[in-house]
Amino acid sequence: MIPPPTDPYERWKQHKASIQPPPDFTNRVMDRLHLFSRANDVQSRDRKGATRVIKAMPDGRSLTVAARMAQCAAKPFRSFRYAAAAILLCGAVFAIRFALVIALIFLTISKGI
Amino acid sequence: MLAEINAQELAAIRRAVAGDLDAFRILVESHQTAVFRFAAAILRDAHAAEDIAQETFLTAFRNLARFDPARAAFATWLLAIARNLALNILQKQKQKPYSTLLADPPETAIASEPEENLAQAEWRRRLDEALDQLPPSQKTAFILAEFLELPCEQIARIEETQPSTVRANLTRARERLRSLLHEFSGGYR
Repeated sequence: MIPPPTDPYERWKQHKASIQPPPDFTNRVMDRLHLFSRANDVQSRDRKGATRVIKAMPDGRSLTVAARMAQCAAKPFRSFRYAAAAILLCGAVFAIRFALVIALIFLTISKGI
Repeated sequence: MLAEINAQELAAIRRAVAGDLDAFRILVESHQTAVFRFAAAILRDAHAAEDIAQETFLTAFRNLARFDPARAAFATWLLAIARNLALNILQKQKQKPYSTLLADPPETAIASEPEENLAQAEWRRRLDEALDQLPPSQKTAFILAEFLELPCEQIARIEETQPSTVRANLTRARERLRSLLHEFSGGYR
């Protein structure tokens, strides 16, 4: 068992409240920001926020291919959702038809009896 | 609230929205300590805290046009972004228990004072562990109230909840920490 030093809670709070960011923190943020703002033609995000398409950089390097690839990569998920919805819809239609047929058979049999 | 934002900050925000990066630098310099301190207290890892703090400012810059000074102070908005990003990291850590973030000894990450004796360091570690055992809402409320000394109303805006909920979370967090400390000290305190 370790005896607590003089008010360890207060010292802990003081320590936490004295934490400082690294001295060059602002510069690092600004470097990343410059990189971001130099990239032009930033398109809006995909509906699900999956891609942020950057078409071209100021140094002339084209990122169009990468952007297209990102768009294509995002598409299968969308197609999959549509396919899943279509399957569910078809399933529901068949289930209703099946229920109607069963009901019809049941009615026919019961009337016949 | 408008009163919470001084005119200089509001002017800097407007210039930053227009694309003035120097104006945004002023905002970063004003709020970096609070954002970094908050992230470091949640994550207990200097590298992860810096990543989250940087990401917070980048996210803020991208969405600066959406910032509404009538709804909250800029600091509140930034801390809300930092909170969400940090909690996402914590969530990922839970999913991957052997991640490098958790593997790093937290005390080496945040530099300790050299003159600090062993008992104090041990107590600080225990308090950190006790804080980690709190649920996320209690943990963030506690950090914002105790380490950043924010009022309940501002914490409520950051956490998108009611001030009464924040007060309840703080009470529960303090009680839980007290009981954990009592367990640690073996009834010493």
